[in-house]
Amino acid sequence: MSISGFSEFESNTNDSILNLNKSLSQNGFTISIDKNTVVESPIEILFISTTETNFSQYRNLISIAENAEVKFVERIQNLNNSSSFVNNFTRINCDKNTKIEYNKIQNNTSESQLIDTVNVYQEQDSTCDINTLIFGGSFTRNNLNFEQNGFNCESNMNGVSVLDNNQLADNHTFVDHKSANCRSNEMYKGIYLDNSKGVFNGKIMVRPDAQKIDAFQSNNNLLLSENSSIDSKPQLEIYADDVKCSHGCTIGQLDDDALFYMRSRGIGIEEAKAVLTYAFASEAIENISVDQVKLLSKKLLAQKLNVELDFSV
Amino acid sequence: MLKVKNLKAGIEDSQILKGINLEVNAGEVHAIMGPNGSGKSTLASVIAGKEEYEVVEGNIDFEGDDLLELSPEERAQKGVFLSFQYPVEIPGISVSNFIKTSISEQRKATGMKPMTTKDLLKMMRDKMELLNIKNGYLSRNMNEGFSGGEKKRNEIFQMAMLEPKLSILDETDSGLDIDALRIVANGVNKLKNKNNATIVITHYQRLLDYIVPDFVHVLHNGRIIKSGGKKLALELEEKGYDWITKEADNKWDKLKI
Ligand SMILES: Nc1ncnc2c1ncn2[C@@H]1O[C@H](COP(=O)(O)OP(=O)(O)OP(=O)(O)O)[C@@H](O)[C@H]1O
Ligand SMILES: [Mg+2]
Repeated sequence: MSISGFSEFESNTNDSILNLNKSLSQNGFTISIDKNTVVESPIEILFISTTETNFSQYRNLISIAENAEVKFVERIQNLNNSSSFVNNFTRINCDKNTKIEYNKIQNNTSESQLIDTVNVYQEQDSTCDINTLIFGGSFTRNNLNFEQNGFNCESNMNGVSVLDNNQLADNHTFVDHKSANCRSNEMYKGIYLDNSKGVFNGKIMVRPDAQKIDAFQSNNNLLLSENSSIDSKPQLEIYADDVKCSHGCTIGQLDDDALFYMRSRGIGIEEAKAVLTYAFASEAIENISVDQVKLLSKKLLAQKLNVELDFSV
Repeated sequence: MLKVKNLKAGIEDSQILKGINLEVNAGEVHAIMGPNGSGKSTLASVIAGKEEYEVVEGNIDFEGDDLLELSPEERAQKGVFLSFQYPVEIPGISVSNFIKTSISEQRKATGMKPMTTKDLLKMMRDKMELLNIKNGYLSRNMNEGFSGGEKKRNEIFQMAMLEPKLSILDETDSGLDIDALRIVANGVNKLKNKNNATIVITHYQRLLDYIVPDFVHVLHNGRIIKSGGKKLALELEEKGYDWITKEADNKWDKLKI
């Protein structure tokens, strides 16, 4: 394994944000995992800014060679309360038969804005999971783009957004199924309080030669206040005929029957709401394999809902 | 313990309970029977505090407290427990977490100090044994994918853990197989003492063979139209409801109510 600083690499794009990133970036990391290597403990990546009015472009490259496995935890943190804008771009190359889990904990200060793009290029028999947990930041836009270039690839995305005040979080995903016998799963859960707003846009493209594809997408949302909102948009473009593709979107409130059930067991209404909210999100959280990340997200969720949730038994 | 007086309740403009009077004392077992749709579950829900029912008249006194003034959680904290006819599935919360939260909230509310994890686990194991519940059950999500019988057993497990003063068992027997019925009924009997009381809502004598009631009430069209001892249940099993419901309907017809 090698870890080093910023390196320049190509990103063919006509996306202006990525072009901005390419022309201005001087910071970032480069990580290569050697062939046949299983990295036991997760690699933690911290982007810290201490300057007043931070305007940063980070550019990162991860290359995972054949048969390697690795997990990441990434956080972008502003250490003072001044405004901050981060444009983060990560390219992940997954060679044959690799396994990668990338966890993003987005809990920056309330003056922070983030545009985060990850482009994943997958070869045959590779699995890539990206989990995005959004708790903080005033504006967050995530772009996850997967390109499946070989047989039997799997791309998994789990997302949990818990937003309050005037927060806005936007998850754009794109899976490009270019090869046959591949799978993609997306599970995004949104919990919106106060005046917060969520966007989910999930695009799935199945190319003509990509037969036997399973593509599953769900976006479930809880609106916990009158003034919160969500725009949810699935976009399916399917050019092959032997494809299983499903998408579903729900927008709702907490279930009154479940709430009454809990209260009838002596659980106070606020706690009951928090437990149900947690339960709503937990399906996506449970897919994360790094225990510390799971625990942290439970804690942050409880914090946002202003309750103590104790899940140690 | 529980005094229900002239309770009238319903939803919007339809009245479901039309003047219920019921008194339950510590140490007693009451059975409530009655045809489908007569209001049994509604009565149970109103006692437990379900907000969708509007109480238009009457009151419910529970050990000196006016229950109707209390939230559902406060009622539970005072010792009211409802075993649901249709227990609710709560995906994402394990049985053990659910019960732990419930116990710790109840203890907090009543000023007791929290239970240690060790004591809690021991208590869970004891009660699981009492109800013949298999291992692995605690980590399953609350009622999710449970069979009908498993859900009912889970209700009684919670009752065993919470040790309420007043338990209302709404058709706990439905969905239980013969062995499970005996196990659950034995569990309920073991939990019974002179300081608590039980109301069993059921359609069948079978359950009352095990949980023997001191009083049997027949609910029909939102009213208790007949009360008696345990023999009444046997009589109903034999003759059905017609003989008393007709009589009652005639009476209310004559009164034009
Ligand atoms: N939330 C509700 N909305 C509309 N109608 C209701 C509601 N709750 C109860 N009812 C009606 O009130 C009546 C009594 O219902 P309830 O569930 O109390 O009957 P029950 O005696 O428990 O019947 P069963 O033996 O079938 O369980 C029924 O006609 C039912 O349809
Ligand atoms: Mg009923």
